[in-house]
Amino acid sequence: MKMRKYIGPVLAAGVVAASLALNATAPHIYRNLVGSLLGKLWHLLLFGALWLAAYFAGRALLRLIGYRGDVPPELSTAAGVVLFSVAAFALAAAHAAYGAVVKVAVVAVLAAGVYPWLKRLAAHGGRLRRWFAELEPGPAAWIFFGGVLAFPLALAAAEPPLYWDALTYHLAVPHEYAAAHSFVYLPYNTYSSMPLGATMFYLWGMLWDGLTCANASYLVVSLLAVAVVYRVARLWLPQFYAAAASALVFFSPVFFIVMPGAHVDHYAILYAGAALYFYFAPGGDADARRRRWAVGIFLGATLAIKYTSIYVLGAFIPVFVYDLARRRLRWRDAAVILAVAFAFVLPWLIKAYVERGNPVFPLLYGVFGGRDFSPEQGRRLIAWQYNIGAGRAWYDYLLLPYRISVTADFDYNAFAGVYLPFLVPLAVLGTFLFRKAGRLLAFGWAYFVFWSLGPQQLRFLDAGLGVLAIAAAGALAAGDAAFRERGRWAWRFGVVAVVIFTALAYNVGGLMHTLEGFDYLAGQDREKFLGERCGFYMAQRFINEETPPDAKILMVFTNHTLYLERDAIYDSFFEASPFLLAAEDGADAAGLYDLAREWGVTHVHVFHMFEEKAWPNYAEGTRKTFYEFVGWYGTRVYVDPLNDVYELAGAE
Amino acid sequence: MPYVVKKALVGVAVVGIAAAFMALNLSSAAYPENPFPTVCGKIWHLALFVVFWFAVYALGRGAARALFGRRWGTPDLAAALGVVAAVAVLFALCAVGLAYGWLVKFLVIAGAAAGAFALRKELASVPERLRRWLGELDTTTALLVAGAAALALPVVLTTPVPPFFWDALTYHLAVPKTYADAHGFLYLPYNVYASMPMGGSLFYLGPYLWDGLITARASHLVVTIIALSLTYRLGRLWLRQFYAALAAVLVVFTPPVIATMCGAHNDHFQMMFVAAALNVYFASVPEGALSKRNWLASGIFLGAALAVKYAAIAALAAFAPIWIYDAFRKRVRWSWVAKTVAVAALLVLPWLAKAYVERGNPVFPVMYDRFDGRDFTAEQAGRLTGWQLEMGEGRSVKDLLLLPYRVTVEADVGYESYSGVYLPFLLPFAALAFVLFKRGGRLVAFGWLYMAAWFWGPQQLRFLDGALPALCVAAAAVVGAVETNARDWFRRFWRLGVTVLLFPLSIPYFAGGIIGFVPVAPYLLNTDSELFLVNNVGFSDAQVFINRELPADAKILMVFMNHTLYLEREAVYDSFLEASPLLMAAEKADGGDELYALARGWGCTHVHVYHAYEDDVWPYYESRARKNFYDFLGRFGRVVYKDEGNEVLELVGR
Repeated sequence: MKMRKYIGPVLAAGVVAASLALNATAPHIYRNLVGSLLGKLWHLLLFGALWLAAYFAGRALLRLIGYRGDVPPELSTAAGVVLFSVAAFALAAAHAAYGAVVKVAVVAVLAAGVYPWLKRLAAHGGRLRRWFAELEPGPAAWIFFGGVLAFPLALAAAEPPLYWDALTYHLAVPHEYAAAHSFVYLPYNTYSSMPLGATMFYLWGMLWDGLTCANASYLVVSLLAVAVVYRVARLWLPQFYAAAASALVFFSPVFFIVMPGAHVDHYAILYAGAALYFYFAPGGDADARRRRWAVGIFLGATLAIKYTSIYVLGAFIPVFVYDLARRRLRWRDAAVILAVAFAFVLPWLIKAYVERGNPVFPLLYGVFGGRDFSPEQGRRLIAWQYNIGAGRAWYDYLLLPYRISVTADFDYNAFAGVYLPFLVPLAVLGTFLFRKAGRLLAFGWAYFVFWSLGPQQLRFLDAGLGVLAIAAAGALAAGDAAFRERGRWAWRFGVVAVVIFTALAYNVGGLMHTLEGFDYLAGQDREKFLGERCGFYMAQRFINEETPPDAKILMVFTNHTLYLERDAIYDSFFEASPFLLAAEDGADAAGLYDLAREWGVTHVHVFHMFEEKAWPNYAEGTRKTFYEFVGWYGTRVYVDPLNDVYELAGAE
Repeated sequence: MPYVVKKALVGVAVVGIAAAFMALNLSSAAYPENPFPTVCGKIWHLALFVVFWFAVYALGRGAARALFGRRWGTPDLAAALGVVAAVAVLFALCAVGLAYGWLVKFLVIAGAAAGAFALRKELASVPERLRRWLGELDTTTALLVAGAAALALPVVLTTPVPPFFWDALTYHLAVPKTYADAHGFLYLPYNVYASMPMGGSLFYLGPYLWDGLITARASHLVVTIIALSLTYRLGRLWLRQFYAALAAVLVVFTPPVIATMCGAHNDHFQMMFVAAALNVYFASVPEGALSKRNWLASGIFLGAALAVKYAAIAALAAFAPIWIYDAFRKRVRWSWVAKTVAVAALLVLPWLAKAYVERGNPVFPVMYDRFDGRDFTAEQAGRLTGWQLEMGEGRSVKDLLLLPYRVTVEADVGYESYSGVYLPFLLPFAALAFVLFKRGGRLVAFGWLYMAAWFWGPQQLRFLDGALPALCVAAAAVVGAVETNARDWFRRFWRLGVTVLLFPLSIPYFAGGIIGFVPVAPYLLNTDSELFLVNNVGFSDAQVFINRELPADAKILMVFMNHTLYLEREAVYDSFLEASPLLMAAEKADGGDELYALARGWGCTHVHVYHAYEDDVWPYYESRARKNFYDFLGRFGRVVYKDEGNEVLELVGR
């Protein structure tokens, strides 16, 4: 009798297997998709395992500093990401960045964490059900709509990486480290000597299950960031408006569209949000010890992401000072927070010092200097960074909220990104209407001010975006209070509808673009996929297949080394190319050839797509000299509408 | 300042600032690719679309109230009834020559306004009901439904572009558009479909007169959603929430369903009406009493299904044994069965009358040897029947027995192999239902009987859509049977496992269909219909030429095509390329002269030859037909337009 209950499942599984197998052997147009998608499913399982391990690791870390199961899962997972990133740094420093090491570590974490987790599974299920039951219709609509709208992006995350920054450093640098099993000095990649805390998590993901696993991590980080914004907002706002804050972040095009590609900015929202949560979450004196550690860890993790994260520290300072003055924060706690945070940044400063002789390379070049870099490059780099945005006159700063809302675009001269147009104005209004979160808003605006003084790329404002969105949601909540029962219902309905409507209007263009990638998910060949979407890929494929293994490529107007399998010289910033600067400094074609040979260059790859934007950065005549150089000393061995590859005379 | 004023000011400030910056952003030139205006336009049409469907729903509610009482039915049943009522209204308007845009607009606005007033309490309770529904929704079901919705989204997003599917361009939209231009029924001698029952297609006339072609086309999507909801409701008669939802998801994941839901076809009308009929029948019969209102409703929905297309007769054939069985088991009275059939027949009758008036054959072009039919020949009828029965894989008893296996394993997109595929586990599961879902035995039997009836006709999988609700509920029930008597934890894991596995096991089978829509995506941000059509429809350039360059009284002889939706000239064409009077004449002719005389006899001034399907068509004719046809073109045609796939020739006498 006991066997009877197994008959059903066995029968069902048998029928599924048999029908699929029969179907797969038929001369059927769809059968090739089955294998392709099942393969992806396996990687999806590995991906899920990585994130489960991150959750377990984060819980363990937070437990270590005193938290006992009362931390929201997204924050535990964020702590796990920090831990894995640090572990990746340690492995790279110890020349032990091997796939096997990471696999053993992840499996060990899973093995240690899974049993207690399964024991609490019923409780987790109960919490999930309770959460679901308490979910209001408005947030449910945003979640559903957001999920549906983001689904194509989730699919796009499983495609081979295509984004510029990922191909140049976020994935390209860890790819080099993974190949060398350790840190390697990359003289032509300026970024590689800057803090790369988030990028280290890509190294971890890459060693666990390859490039796609690393790339797709950013999508999960983005979702965690949105959840953390909600969690911070809930400290002051009811469910609906906390969800509104998350929705404003999620649907802002500068956030939404980049989710499928490996960047680092959403790590800043996640970590800074976590630091803010632990800082502002209610708790008595007994809470102080663990809290200062948690804030320190996440603040440090934020600072280790990139230099512009220093704004987060700058924005925290007024809050610390105010709280110290009001005796809400003890000097000792503040000191621990800063010390812990500094401990996270220190390894990066040491690494930069070891590699370049400048702990904050390429900043303060006048003071510290820096190997394989020149004052002219430093000057041009700073000039280029300050060129981004909409001017630096005093009135430009005053006009920033207006311009971000009205004239922002994806061009560098217009903030290189777009927010929903009412986000910043409502945040300004929220500053007056949502005073109970005054310290949080002070953090947000202080961050905004620091950001406005640096390179005004909207992505760099991400760590403050969550707080601005909370301020905007605070303004909306103040509007809510102006109504009675039915009016309130209508108000909230309006808020839901407007957010969804603008989300669609501002994101549909980018979304449609991602749909084109469906071909790959349905089994399109990887080479064909990249060939169609990456302008330089076919040229790189030619280089990988046709040039000798010891060839050294001079890359001009391209620095995307992720898919290149040859040694290469390239420019981190097209505006400050040492090779073209030599031409500008008076070198003629022969001089350039000598320089190239001195560097060991055998081939030159010219990518023409961004050429017209790059040339104006150099003196007149540079272009002519460069083309004389490739014309006289190079033999064109590959050509397509966007690329030329030359073999230099004398190269074997 | 008084507190109330202060609060009001806050509200005004929040709205004002948000609105002002939206407006400023809109007027800014800094974001030239801003899709906002296009999206706003689409949203406006979307709003009109919602108003139209609300009016249909209100009409259904009104009809339900009048026929069955205040408390009868659920929103999806009411909406389905609204579609039936709307078709009745449109039929009446066409019959008396009053199919005017202004009248339909007035009726929709009046219907929506009256509905809003009459249903104000129901509307006011929507948030509460939504909350309750969300509260009752279990997590795995939500995951399943959300995942399915996300996968269907790319298809849904490609809905608001001009119609480009063959059937829509030939009759589902082309015929109602002709009626709209004539403000009533119009005899279309070259369009065989126009004289068949077309309850689904006539419905498109309403949204077309209300807000144009795209709104008409998009209506099929709503019909699909109603059909899915009715499938869920049908499942709920026997199954838990998750498995009822699974049944609906299995329906939408069926490749021919997901691929056609955003195009104006009529198969989902058939599915919707059959699902509604099954709902009202089985909702009351298990209790042992088919109530008066439910036999009436069942008859109405069955009749509406039969009025969609001839192939829906399979629904009647599948219902009959169930009625007989239930009558013998004294669950229903024989008189009620008779009344149900009578009501159904009543709904089909106007279509038979229309066919009789137009062609002299109430079931035109079927039974041609008995009833004959104007502007049609016995040979055409023979070729038509031959072509229809060519679809599929044979009609012997052995073929019937092998049918489930063949559909599961050998189905493909060609006409010779069912013209579509099913998820490979659907039919095996539906077969297992005879053993593992005995409670729903009659429903399972209905599904298989439907399939058996379908087997004898043209074996296109789309025509089997009416059986899908029953087959999918049966399959879902089998999946659910596994957890019978299982512990709670097993149930949860099983459902989660089913949800997780369903997607990779299904996606490969319909991904191809979805990917096919991707090239359409960029046109979502483009309002230029002509540009869209030129890039997506092979003959569009030629038709643009004809519409712009040829005289208003030109009459076009269309060869190897019958897509008249966008053509603004009178035309002679073949409903079935396999039974073309011109090419049949070419088979018998001695040269081009006879074809020229024939074309001139029809009043044709120009010939449009669309070459894309030419090689598929010639095998249906004797080889001399081709020679004579090209002799006719060469001697009597002067090329006035030519592109890669098209030629337009002016007929000139020698």
